Amino acid sequence: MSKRTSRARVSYVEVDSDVDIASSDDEAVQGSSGAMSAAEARGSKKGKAKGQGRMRGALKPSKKTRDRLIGSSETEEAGKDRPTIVWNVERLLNLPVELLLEIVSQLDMSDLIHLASTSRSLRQLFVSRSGGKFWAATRKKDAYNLPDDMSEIEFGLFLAGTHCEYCGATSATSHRHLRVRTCSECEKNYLIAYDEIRRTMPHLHRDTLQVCRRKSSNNFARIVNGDIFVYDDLCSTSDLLEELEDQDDQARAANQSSRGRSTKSRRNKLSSGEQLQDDALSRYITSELKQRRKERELLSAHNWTQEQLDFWHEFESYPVRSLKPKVDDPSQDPEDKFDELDWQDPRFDAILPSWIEFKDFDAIKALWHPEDAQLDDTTWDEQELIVEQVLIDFAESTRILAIRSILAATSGKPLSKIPSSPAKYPRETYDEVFFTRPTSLFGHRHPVMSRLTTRLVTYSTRAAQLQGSNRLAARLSNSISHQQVLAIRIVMEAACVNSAAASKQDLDDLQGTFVWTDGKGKVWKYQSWMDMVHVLMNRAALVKKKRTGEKVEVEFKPVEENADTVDDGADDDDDGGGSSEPEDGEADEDEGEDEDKGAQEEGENENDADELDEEDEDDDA
Amino acid sequence: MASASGSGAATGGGKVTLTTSDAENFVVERDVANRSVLIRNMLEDVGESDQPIPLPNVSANVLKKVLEWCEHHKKDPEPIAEDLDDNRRKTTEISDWDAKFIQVDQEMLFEIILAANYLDIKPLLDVGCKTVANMIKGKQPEEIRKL
Repeated sequence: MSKRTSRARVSYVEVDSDVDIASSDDEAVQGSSGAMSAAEARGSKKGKAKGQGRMRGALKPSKKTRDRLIGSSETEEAGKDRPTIVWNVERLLNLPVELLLEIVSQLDMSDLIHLASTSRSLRQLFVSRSGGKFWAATRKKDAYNLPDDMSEIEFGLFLAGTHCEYCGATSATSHRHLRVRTCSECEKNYLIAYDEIRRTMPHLHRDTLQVCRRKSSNNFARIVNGDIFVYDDLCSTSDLLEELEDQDDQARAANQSSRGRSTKSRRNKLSSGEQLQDDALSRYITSELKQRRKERELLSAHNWTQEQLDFWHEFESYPVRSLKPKVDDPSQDPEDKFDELDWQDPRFDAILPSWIEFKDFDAIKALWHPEDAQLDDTTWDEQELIVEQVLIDFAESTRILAIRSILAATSGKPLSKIPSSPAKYPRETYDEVFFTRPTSLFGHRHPVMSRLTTRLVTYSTRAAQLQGSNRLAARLSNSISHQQVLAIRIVMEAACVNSAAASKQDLDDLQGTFVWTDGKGKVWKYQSWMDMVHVLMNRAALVKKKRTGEKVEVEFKPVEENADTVDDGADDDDDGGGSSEPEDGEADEDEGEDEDKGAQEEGENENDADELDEEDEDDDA
Repeated sequence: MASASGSGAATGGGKVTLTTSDAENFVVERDVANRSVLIRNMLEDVGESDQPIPLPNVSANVLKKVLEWCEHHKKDPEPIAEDLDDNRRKTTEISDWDAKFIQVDQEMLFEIILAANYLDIKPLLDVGCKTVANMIKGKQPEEIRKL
């Protein structure tokens, strides 16, 4: 997408190169109505005295005014003496929207893209928030239906665009099933086959593959080895599923407890009858849907007969003993005991499983599950030791998995190749320093916009973020990747930070700008090293270069250099690459918007995460 | 055949005077003027009158061109209202005469489109929009810019 817009940017420069500075200033200030001014300014350049008046008129924002002006004064002028006519594509902007729509409805989507890349004002018109109607017009001409989850513009760009969505290369293939368009190079890096997923991504949420877009190799309903998925899609969907499941579990837990023990505090949040009803209804619907999906699967994928299905239903409806022990006296509920444990105990490393997971640990099952389990307070002192040991073991195994994940990411080997024996990971070797190395940081992906926001945090922070959530270890392990480490290394090299001794703090303390010029002369500048890492992670070709030992041209300009030199540098870029930073920003208009959104979302997400954590604590307390 | 409107029968042969924004008068047959829905409605509202009809949004040279089109198309059957949209969508062809007629410079082309919109002459508006669309169709951005 960036390439497409950057192309439009260049064309803007070409188109408007003859516009004087005053008018381009106007344009910048006026925003969308500035689009008019650019067109009009050119009119004034033709030396007509009236041009000035027209320009002033055109700056009026009201559409009615504009139409009237075009209708009367312009034709009037044209009638008196006609200037030499030069086709100016921006003349289209003089037309009322309904006429422009009429014209556009005769065009193909690709024509619309071409038209949008002829000048900046046209691009603003077509790619702005309100530009959807134009895309809708051409879409309807071709009788395509708009997918539920895409905007008109997204759909148009996807159907008719030609550039790689990742690197901007011009020869790219559309993967319609996957809703991405990649070049052959990025395809290797961003698309992943089922067999590779099974090999390298063991910790995906179990339902991820069912709900992600898939390019089936042979149209089987079942997922087979040759099927292709989008890597980013998998990660973000898995995260999202985990999160949803967490929420479900919490809601269920809260609900169960509210039914059983009406005096407990955790229910306060759900005390309103309305919400309980809502919850119950949505849970009913969810379980019903799940049931039907399961039935369909059994019938179609496993060739079950209706008879077998009926039998299965009967069997399913037998009361199956819940894993949670039933107790008569609510005060003796083991979950409360679990909640009452001292979480601050340093032996637990501040890493805690969710109750749902915890109660399924073998030692805990043995303790609380049997019919004759002692659930009153008499034996609690003994039980507490076992419970604590389970938690200590959990913390330790999580720590080891974290270390192994880091080692796997830094070495580029699969996790399964990293030895798992606890003896290999003494705390003395893998201490605080190890975990604060930049290459040991864990990414915190935004569950929905994974491509846009990644914050890098230390193991303990990441663990705290995941505190009490299901499959904590797996999610932790998923938050670090070889690609991320490579990107961080590129950044460290650029900043001349000693990668063996550096800590996250060293990078945080850097004052300056990271500058990277990509192969197309486009300049990327970032103040924060995390942003630079984030961009590099999304540039598969770059990271691949790093993997093969080529040098990646990322520069770091410390802020200590006086401002003049930096400015000069920027000017040089201007002359050489034909693009400068501000335009850079605009070229990435849509992406930029998204990134802004991403940044906001990120903030919100953190808040959410905090809130969630708080809620968790409330629940646990 | 000439006109579907009720008043058309009574005053079919009459003349109408149109005054442009630059105060030029055009005297045309009623059949010709009736191609414009705007003028037709005005005439129906006003009834029999010698008063010139002011067209403040159209200049003389554009109106001349538009009337040329109306003159040629004055015998065209009136499209049936409900089919209007569908017909316009389906017929992507421009007739030879129209294609020749619309071979004007850009400025005039856009003036004609605006005038056809203002005067509410759907078939002419259609010809104009299609012409612009055809100029853009299948071209690279550079080509569109250099048209």
